[in-house]
Amino acid sequence: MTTTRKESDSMGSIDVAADVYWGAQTQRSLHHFAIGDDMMPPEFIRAFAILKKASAMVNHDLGLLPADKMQWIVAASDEVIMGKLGDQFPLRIWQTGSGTQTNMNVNEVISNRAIELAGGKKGSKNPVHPNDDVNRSQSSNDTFPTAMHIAATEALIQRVMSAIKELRDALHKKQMEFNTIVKIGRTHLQDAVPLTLGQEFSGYVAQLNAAIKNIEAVLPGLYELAIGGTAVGTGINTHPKFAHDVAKKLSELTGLPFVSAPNKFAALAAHDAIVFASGALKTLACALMKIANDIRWLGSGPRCGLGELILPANEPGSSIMPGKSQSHTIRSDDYGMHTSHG
Amino acid sequence: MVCIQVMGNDAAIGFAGSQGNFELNVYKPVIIYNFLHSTDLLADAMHMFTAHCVRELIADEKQIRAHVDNSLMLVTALAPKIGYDKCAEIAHKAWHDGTNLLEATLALGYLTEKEFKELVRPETMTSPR
Repeated sequence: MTTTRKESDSMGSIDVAADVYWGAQTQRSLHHFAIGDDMMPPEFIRAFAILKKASAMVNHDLGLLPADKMQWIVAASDEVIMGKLGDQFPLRIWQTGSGTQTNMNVNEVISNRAIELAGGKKGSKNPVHPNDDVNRSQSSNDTFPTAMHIAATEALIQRVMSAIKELRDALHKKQMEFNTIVKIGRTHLQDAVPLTLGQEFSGYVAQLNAAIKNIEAVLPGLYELAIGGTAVGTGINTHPKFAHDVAKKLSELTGLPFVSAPNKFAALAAHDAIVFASGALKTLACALMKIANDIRWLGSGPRCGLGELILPANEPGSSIMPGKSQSHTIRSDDYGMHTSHG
Repeated sequence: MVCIQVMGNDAAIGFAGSQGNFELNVYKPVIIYNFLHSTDLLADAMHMFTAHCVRELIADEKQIRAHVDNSLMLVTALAPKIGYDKCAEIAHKAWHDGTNLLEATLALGYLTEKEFKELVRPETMTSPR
C-alpha cells in the first residue's frame, strides 16, 4: 500500500502523504517554516476560496478558462468554502511574508480536488493545473491582500458589528431601567455630584454607538481590492477587465460592495486600510475596557466594596475561599471572570 | 484580557503595516492573523459579556442611596446661593467633625434647615436647571 505520492514544482519532486490534497509547495513550506503553531485562520482560507471561485468564473467569462475546468474549480472551491477540506491547510502564519505558500496551498488543494472530481489522479496537474488554471490571471501578491480584505470585512460586519449592537441594546435596556435611580458621581475616584445610573449607562451606549460608526468608516477602504494588480501592481499576465470583473463577482458572491482598488501599487505594498480598521477595533477595546471596569467596580463587594450593582453569580469564584460568589441575592465578586473577557 | 490582547494586536498590525518596501509589503500573514484574532476575541467577549453579565445586572438601590446621602459633594448645590468658598468651608467642617452637611451648615449659620433642604435635593441635581 502506498502511503506517499510524488508532487512536483519548479524545484523538483517531493513526497507528500497519499491522502492529502496539498502539493509540493505546501509540503516544502511545512518543512522550511516549522515555526510555532499559529495557523492561517479558517475564515481567511474560506475568503481565499471565494476569491478562487470568482476568479475561475471571470476567467471563463473572459475566454481564458474552458467551462469544464471552471466548473471543477468552482466545485472544489465550494467545498473549501463550506469547510469540507478544513484539514488541508496546515501552513503557519510564520511563512513567506507575501503569503505565497498559502496561495499555493489553496491552488494545490483546489486543483487536486478538481482533478479528483474530473476523474484524474492527484499530483498529475491534469486536467487542472494549480498555477495555470486555479491561479490564472493572478499572483500571490494580489490574491493574498484581496483575501485579507474579504476576510476582514466579513469578520467586521458578520461578527463584530452584530456583537456590538447586541451589547449596545442590552446596555440601553439597563439605561432605561435605571433612569430614575440617583447615584453619586465619582471623578478622580473621589465623590462628586449626583447623576442617575441611567445617565451613567447612557455613556456606555454612546461609546458603542460611536464604535459602530468608527467601523462603518473603515469599511470603504476594505471594500477596495488588490486583485488584478498581479505581481507588482501593473497587472502583467492578466486580462484588462479581470480586476473589475472579479470585484463585481465577489460582490455578487458575498453581498458586500467590493470594488477594484483604483491604485494597485498601494493595494499591494501597503495595508493602510487594515491598519485603520485595527485602530477602530482598538478604540472599541478601549471602550469595552472602560465599560467593563466600571461595572466591575460598581459591583465590587459584596460587603466591602462599592456594591452599587449586583452582578450575576455565574460560577464559583475561588478555589480557596469557600462560598465566594455563591449567593444570588447578594453581589457576586466573581465578576473578574467576565470583565476579563470584556 | 481581551482588550489588552486587541491593543497588542493593533501594535503588531501597525508595525507590520509600516514595513512595505517598494512594490510589496511582505508582512501580510501577521497582519491578517492579528486582525482576525482581534475580531474573533472582541465578538466572542461581547457576546459573553452581554449574555452572562449585562442582561442580569441589578441596581442595589439601598446602597446607592446610602452613598448619595453620605456624600459631601452635594454641597455643590448650595454654591449658586452662598458661593463656592462657604460651601467648601461646610464640606471641610463636616469632614473634619465627622458630621453631615446639614449639621455643618447649621453650625456655621449659613442657611436654615428649610433653606438647606430645599436646595440639597439629589434628584434635582442630575440636569441643568
